[in-house]
Amino acid sequence: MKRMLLLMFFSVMLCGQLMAQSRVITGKVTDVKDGTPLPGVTVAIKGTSKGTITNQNGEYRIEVSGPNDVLVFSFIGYGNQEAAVPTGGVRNVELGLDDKTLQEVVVTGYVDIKRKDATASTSKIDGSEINNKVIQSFDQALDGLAAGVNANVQSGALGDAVAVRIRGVNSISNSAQPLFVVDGVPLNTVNNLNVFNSGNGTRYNPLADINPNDIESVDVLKDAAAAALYGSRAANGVIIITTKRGKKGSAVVGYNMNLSWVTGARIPKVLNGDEFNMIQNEKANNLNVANIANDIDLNGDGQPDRSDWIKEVFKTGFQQTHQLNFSGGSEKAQYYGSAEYADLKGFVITNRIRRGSGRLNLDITPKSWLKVGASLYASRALNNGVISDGFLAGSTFAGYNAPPNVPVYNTTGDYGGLYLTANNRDLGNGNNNVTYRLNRFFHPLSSVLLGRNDNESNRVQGNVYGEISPVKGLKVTSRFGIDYIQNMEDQYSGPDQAGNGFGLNGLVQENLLRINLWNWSNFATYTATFNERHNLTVTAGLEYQYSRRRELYTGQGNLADDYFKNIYDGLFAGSDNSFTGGTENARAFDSYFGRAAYSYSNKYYAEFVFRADAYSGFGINNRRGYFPGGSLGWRISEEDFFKNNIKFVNDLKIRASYGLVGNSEIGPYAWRTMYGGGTYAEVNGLTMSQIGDPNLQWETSKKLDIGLDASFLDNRIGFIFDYFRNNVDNLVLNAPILRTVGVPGSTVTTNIGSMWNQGFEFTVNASPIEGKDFTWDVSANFTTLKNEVTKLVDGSDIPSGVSRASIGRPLGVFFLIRYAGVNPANGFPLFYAKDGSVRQYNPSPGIPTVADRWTTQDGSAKVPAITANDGVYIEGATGYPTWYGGLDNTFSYKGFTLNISLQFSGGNYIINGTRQSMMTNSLQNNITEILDRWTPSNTNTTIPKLFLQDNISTQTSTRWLEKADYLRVKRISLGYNFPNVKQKLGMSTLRLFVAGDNVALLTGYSGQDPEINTNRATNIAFGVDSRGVPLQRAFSLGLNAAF
Amino acid sequence: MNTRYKYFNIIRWGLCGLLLFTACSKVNEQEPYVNIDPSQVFNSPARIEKAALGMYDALQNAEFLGGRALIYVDQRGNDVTVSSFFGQIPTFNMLSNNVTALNAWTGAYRSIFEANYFMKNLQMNEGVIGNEAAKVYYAEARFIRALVYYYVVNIWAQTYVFTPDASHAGIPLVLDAALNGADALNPANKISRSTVRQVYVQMLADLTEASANLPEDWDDAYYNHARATKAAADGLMARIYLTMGDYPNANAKADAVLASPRGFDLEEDPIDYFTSENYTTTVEGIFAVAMNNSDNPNTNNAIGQHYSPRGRGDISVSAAYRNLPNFGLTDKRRISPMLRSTGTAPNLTYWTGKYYDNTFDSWVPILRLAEIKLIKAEALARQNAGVDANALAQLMDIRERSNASVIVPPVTQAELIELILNERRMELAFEGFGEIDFLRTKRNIPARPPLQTEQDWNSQLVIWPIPFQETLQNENLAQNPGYN
Repeated sequence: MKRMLLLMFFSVMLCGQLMAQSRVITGKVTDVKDGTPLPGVTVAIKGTSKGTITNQNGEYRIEVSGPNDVLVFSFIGYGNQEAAVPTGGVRNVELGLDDKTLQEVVVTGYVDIKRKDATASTSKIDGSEINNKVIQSFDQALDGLAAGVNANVQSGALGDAVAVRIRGVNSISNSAQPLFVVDGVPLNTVNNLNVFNSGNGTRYNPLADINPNDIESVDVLKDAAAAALYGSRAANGVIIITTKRGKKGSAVVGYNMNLSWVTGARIPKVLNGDEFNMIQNEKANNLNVANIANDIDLNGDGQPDRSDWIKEVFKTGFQQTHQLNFSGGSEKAQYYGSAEYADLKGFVITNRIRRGSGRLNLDITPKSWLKVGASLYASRALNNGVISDGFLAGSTFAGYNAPPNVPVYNTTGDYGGLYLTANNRDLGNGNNNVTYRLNRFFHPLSSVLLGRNDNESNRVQGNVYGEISPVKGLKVTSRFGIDYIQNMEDQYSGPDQAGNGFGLNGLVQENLLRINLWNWSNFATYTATFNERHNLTVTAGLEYQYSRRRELYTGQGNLADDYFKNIYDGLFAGSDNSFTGGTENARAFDSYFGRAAYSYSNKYYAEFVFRADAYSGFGINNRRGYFPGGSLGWRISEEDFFKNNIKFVNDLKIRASYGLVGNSEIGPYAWRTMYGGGTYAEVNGLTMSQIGDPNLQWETSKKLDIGLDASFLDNRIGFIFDYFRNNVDNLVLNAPILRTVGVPGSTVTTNIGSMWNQGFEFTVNASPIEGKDFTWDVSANFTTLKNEVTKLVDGSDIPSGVSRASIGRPLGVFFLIRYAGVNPANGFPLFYAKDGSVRQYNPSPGIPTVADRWTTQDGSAKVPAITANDGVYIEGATGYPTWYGGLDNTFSYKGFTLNISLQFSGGNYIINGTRQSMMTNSLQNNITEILDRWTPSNTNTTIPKLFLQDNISTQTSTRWLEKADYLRVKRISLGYNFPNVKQKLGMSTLRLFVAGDNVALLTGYSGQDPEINTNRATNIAFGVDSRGVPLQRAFSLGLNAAF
Repeated sequence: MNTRYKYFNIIRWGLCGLLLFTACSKVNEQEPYVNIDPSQVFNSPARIEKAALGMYDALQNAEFLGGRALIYVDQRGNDVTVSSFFGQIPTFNMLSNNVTALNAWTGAYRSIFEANYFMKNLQMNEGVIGNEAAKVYYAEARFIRALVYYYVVNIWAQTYVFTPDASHAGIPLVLDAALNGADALNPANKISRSTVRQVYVQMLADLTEASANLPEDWDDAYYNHARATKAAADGLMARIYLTMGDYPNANAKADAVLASPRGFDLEEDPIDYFTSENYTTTVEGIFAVAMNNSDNPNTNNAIGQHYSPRGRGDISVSAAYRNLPNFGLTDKRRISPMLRSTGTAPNLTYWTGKYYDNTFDSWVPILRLAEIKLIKAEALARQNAGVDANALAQLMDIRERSNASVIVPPVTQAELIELILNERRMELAFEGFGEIDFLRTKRNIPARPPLQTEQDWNSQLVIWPIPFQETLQNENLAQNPGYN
């Protein structure tokens, strides 16, 4: 078939030559910028159908009919240029770039593709969007930058993991995080290096090891045609990071500095001491209990003691980043090097990350057929973490809960000066009656001042490669990369710290985690052009990957003295409080892959990609998976009928792709049935650890993408549109097993279930004003998403928290009891029963039995209690946004640049668990919202009358479900490029800027931030904010200088 | 050598290199480091022994017999205050989606699975150790299974005497184990609830078999206290017969324990049994779930964490307990170290001393001689009209050990029974008898104002809801009345 097509084209060309007349013009077309020859440029004679194309060396040869003919040179991305027929036989032409995006290179990790030739759906994010930002890891900056990419910064604790979702969530039980590839080496797929407290205490995102200022660009591979090169790991998309490299003929030394001041953007407003007393005692008195909140005057100043715990916990953090870089190169060798030191203090007391890193990227071309190079990166980071979220002892949680009518400090100086109780070192009770508390009160400062939650991450990441071109057009590459992580987690609880520190007389716990990954890829790419118009690129290769993770931990209690805060020889007593252990796993891949791309005359494109992956984590019966993908493209704007008629369109390409990719983020041994360690106190034992499915395999994503790329009006407006549909089959589910079956974890990992995601993506890039002094660039993207679960284990829902995976509904649909507000007549809470009828709950004292508490709203008849059975699907409501995007405006006037980035997202809901827990009716501080509770004089409210320890009115219901739509002013920055620095200072750049991050947030959400999500471990129960750390707001001052 | 040939050479060697790379694949050589395939466990006597001990590891389940099962029973008795940590459990207003209930249910059946899985695999590989050795292991598995079912049936089903023939709904009786994923997903697992009688019949069958095959003495101090023995099986049977109201059998099984060649005796001081130094030596201890500092249910589940103010301190001692009749101020069980206090009014709080010092590694007490003597006392007292002298003697042994106050001698059978039941509370409080003792004796559970009202012994809400999620997944599983 293909051969026939070729023959057809040959014959057309022969005809053209037969008709040619007298004079022959030759010439060379080059790039005006650097004089490089431009192959593939169309050279036509105006007003005729005659034309040719420049060859590999940019040369052309055309016959003209007379001196009045006009030659038209046109090339995708370079616009048109007309030239008269020369008197001699030679006409050389220089063409200038007029649409940068088309010449942009899409980096796939194996082969680079020019944007104009791309038929797959990808997005490129320039490094400038990531450099010089107030972030700990580059993924925090991705939100709003590219269509289809949603990066959810889930907490304001430094170094916390970011949920990056490309075109929605494409897995139920597996990771939904994309694959990250740095300079051609896939990184370790681990979101959090810390393991204490089930990895939920202080979290550390390993991407925070990577210096964001070294990043040149980020390519996002979204559809199957792009991502199928990564086969079984591509279902969630692939993010390709390219670090900076030296450029020929330059030598630059640069210095970048960033100083920032960060605060918590929106912090909960809690009751002050007087309000606290009033509210707590009202709760008690309404239940006929005497006052439970009473003042104390510990310091004897005659005033009741008052503490503003929020102020004690949240501070302004100062951050500084200094980066020195040098780059340059000759024809034969290029280099880029950088050294960075970052000292980032968070806004939660003591939270801090210090990171030092160095990079050296080298490319050497000793012979025209040989190129070798290396990318080497090493970093060390020390993270002073704070435990947060669900941990009572964590500063934030404890600070929200703590009674404001007790002092921060004691008067004796004991216990590090903190006001603690003698018997268990909880926060002192003052004169409060803590019988009615919900939880223990921990002193908000004790975990950070008396203990330590650190981790120290060392990272070595990089690769060496060699490339040979034995014959013209053929390039054989071998690249060996490593990603080595060593994380030492270091936790100390002082002897005066409530909990283990006190219980064990000081406790140190250490965990050493090592992940060693190597990746060896070998591939060959052959590029050829036939008859100037047929371009063929074929790539084939194989790849091996192996990673091994090992952990070793030790712990020691009963330390000699609180002066000694580590495990030192002879400075602890007894063997009872010594702990040690560890774990280990490994995973291996071997893969074959290939790609063939054909294009004809910049008009027609066809591409086929393929990968076969064998993964050790797939069941023994299904070891290897095959992942093909294909795409087609048609540049309509190159067709004569279009070119000759529609002038305002510079470029128009439609493309379509379809393919199969997989998700292999399955535990390394998930398919096995295994015994594991089962110590019975003093003796060794073996206990069942897992029931497995030997047929376990990858999740299959069938991805369809139909797209359109267009640019108009002299390329002033660029437009990208995509429709995508992803059918995910064989979802790996931790299939819930009946609890009575009793298998470990109550789940079996198996392939059951399907769902789909579909949506639209729009991107617009425009330059509305392009003046000499003033320019305005705007870039906007918008994504819509729809998701539906279509198959599950046996048709029944998979509940997770109050969310569900339910057939025919979007993943994570909320299933809740409906709150019906407050009966204005008596302040009692009302709920809807399943049938929609309203039931009233009476928490008053003296009601004999629970059954007597539930009545109709008018109190006339007893009704059954509201139970889980009264829950209903809140149709369409999930924690996942159904639309999101970004809007980026850059205004330049002479040396000034003003950038305003907006980012928005919505269509999703959040269970505001922070609010729920802070509206408790037990003894504990509340948020100020509670002041609007029902009282005889305030009857029109949604907050019921307060009854001590009434936990029915505060039970999880739609009362706490809130819309999460928001518009964020993500960043405003103003920079000034000093002019004439070259002449005056001998510098190439001197730029100063000021910026504000997370400047404003427009949302109806009443909590701290609609991006906060504290349910990190699950894809179903997404969208729960349970006392997450608020997000940061930052103001910064920066300097970029280069010589 | 021309250039072209040189290039061909490079390609040739390059291709060879590429082919050699296939040797780099490590896909098929991956074996787990920290786990082992069951086929490699049941091919060795030493590993079978370890898998047998693994059943006790499963018994340590943090959500069930790692301590929580005992706590739940006591949360609904009258000896502890209402603990907000346990939510709606102590206040009898649980909802069927209660997470604690789901976790407890899950934990219980997880422990049962381990025993069933072990038995099933051992049956398939019995030749490795021979039938005689296998019998002991089966006996251990059956003891463990019966022990867990005892708490499951008493938490989720009405007490045995709720109906005259115990024909009311019990709990799903699972006696088989899934060997692989397909088994686990088999719809045949959707079984319905057996009657309470059926559950008791099964427990007694398991324990009879266990009693016949378990050793009296493991010749190992740790195993004698932390592993099933004949006395443990007999003792549990005594308790089960007492719960059923089968007093002759309860008495007979108590006698079997008292006659054990192990020579069980009361410790000199009541605290001695609860002192960690004595866990493996105590003459009073028959069976407990062992813990130590590195193997325990941790901060949020260890029994000591909940009961001790040195730990989480969730559960304090109620006034009703301290004010029990005949609970003298000098009674060792009413003073430190058996009963502790912290704070001053209004925060004066009492705590049990049973788990005070060992917040993490307190052993979970299951069977000890004091209980056996009280079972015997009650069984005799209920069988014999008037005041049974032997019953009174058993009771007085308990009281004298604790330097208890002098009591007015009982003159009627009812008075004697009343004394014994109160003594059980004084002696066995916080060890998982609270609610079960009220229900099996058909006494209502007293109120604990202001939060908890009196509960009729046979009211619907004295037992827990079957977890909502479980009834959702298994349509054959009937919910308890009063819950939906």
